[in-house]
Amino acid sequence: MSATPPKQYTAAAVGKTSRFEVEIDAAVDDSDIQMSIGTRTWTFRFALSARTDVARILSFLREHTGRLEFSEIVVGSFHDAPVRLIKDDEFADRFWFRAYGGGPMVEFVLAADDLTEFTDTVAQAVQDLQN
Amino acid sequence: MSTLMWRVYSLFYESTLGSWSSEIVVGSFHDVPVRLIKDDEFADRFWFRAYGGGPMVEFVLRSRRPHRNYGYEGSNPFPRSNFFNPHKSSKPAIRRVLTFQRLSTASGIRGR
Repeated sequence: MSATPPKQYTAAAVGKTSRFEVEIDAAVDDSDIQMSIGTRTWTFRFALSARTDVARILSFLREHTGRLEFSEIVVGSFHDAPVRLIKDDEFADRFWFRAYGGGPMVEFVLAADDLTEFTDTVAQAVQDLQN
Repeated sequence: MSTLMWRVYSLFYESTLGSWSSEIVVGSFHDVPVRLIKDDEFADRFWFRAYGGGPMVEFVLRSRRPHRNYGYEGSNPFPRSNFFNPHKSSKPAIRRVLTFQRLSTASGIRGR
């Protein structure tokens, strides 16, 4: 049994569409902030380095959707592995969320209609953070 | 078959007999345990979950169900008309990937 009690988080922002739910949770006691992406078939919760990362994710999605060029940004971390948002150079509307730091890896593909809905969901969360 | 794979198989097999919750640790992902969890709400629902406090990733595994676009999920995940045409919308066959450490070897799961 761990001697350290689990951290307490509050919801700082929420975005929701029919396929995605994005929640930004801020720790009560420190500056830790996490982003949770939920769908019907998977959930991914990772640490952000700052609140502004959410707006950065949205900008990256909007800037690179429709382009056939490879690009990536580090958007956070999953334990000791960096989490990257990666733009594909094969399809104009395909991105990946990938947590990889050598060895084990997890990745999720966002493409086509899913990408449109996810962008809308993140936009809602960004707006919620600004209010 | 290894002991671990036998336990995984047993967990899947037992799910056909009824609905109760159960879980086993099947590996690790960046120092957090990866669990295969059996749901007690639906007989055909499992999760792969990597969680050790804070960040978490999980996949839901369920039986096939009717899908409004393709009849059944998995029947036509990547229409031929979209192949090699990058300007059309992509529908990749593989949408989720999780690789994790199982004993001294790596295990991988890929799925839609």
